Amino acid sequence: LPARTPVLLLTAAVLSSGCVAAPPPAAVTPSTTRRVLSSESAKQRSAEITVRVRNRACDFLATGSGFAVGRNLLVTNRHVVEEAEQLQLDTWDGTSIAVEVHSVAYLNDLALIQTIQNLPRVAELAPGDPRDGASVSVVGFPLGGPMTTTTGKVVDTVTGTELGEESRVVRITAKVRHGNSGGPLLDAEGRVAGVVYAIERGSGYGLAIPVSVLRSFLAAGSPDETPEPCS
Amino acid sequence: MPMTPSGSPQPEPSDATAEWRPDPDGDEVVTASWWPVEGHATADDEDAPKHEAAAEETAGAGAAHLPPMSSAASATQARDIVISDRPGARPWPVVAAAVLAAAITLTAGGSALVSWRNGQAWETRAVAAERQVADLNAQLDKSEGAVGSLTTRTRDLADEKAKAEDEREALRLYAKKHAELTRAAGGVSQQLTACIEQLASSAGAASWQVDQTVKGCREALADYQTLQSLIDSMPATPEQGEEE
Repeated sequence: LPARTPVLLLTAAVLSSGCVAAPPPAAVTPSTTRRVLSSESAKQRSAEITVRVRNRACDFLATGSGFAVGRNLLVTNRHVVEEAEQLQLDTWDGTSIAVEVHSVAYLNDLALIQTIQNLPRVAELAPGDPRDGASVSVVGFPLGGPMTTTTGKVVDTVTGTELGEESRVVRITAKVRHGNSGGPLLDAEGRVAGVVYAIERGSGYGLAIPVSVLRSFLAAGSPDETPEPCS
Repeated sequence: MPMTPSGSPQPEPSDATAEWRPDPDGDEVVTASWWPVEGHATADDEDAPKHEAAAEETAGAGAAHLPPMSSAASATQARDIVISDRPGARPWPVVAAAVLAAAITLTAGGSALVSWRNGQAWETRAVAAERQVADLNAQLDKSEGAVGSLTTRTRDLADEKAKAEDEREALRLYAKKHAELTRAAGGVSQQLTACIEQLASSAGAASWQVDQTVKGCREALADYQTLQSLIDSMPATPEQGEEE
């Protein structure tokens, strides 16, 4: 017994000290701390990049949509701003943005407008054209009313020659109405995947110019045309 | 010379604490001056007191408290007894281990107490933090609800503002067209007035002159009809962006 005593005592001491070793402070991991970004936030972001475009032409008044690609650069459709005597931009919350002196660049049915005042939020462009079956949403001011968002999927990408467009055209199931023209086609991450410009007769599909064409348009340079004054 | 139990010669113990001698029955008996556990026992011979005295001299106080064993017990248990050369001192490894064990146990105990108290404190803080998170989430939900309704209200107001501005622009456009139509109406009115005057003054005129006057009147009437159609063609509401 005397020979084993030290070993037993040491073992007992070590074991007992091991058993009661101070545990590390438990991290507080409440289950409700992380909040998933709500769809409302996504809507808000898309709302901030989209503006309402009012085109007061010489003898008509037209409204459409557009979105910011720079602090002072707005993309919309050519047919939305054509023959404009004066362009007026409004954000989703009613803020008016001055376009007292504007210049326009055109490519197909795309127009780039330079503004004097800063636009509220610049859109992020998608890296590539949307694939068939991808989820997309359309943001705009249909029928000149409040801003809406409609969702759908990409049907396919077709040649646009028979659809009034020289480039390829993305067909979508998301509902598009008059006034959505010039508005952004957003992918699932909220990035601009195209520019809405028309409705296909017969099928009722929405039509959009793909982002690759928009990129080429933007790479071409800054606006250099000034619309002729109303006669 | 004392002998070991195996019969080999035994050197004289330096302390004279143990000795061996044969017992009368021929069995070997070991007698010791100190038994640390079993107690103080001696053989039933006459030397017992002498051995006791020797034991007390060498063992000192370490054995003094032990009760004496009976003679019978000492006779039968004598072979099982361990004989110690240094009866009064515990081996130092035992003492060191005991001290170390005591120190470790005390440290562990203190550590256990501290960790238990830390655990309690962390638990309390965790519960409080969880409660705070729940409260903040509730407040955030409430705020988001308020923001959501405000956003909707803002959007509605912005829409009303936009529509009012559309109407304003449409009215400006109408006003501009009205002015153009008014100017056109003035011209038509002058044409018709001239026509009537010419017709009145052409009573005795040649037929070709009358025909020319009538022709002018017809043109004025056509302008009037065009003006009327322009007025009718004015849209009731502003147009939307045209799409394919």
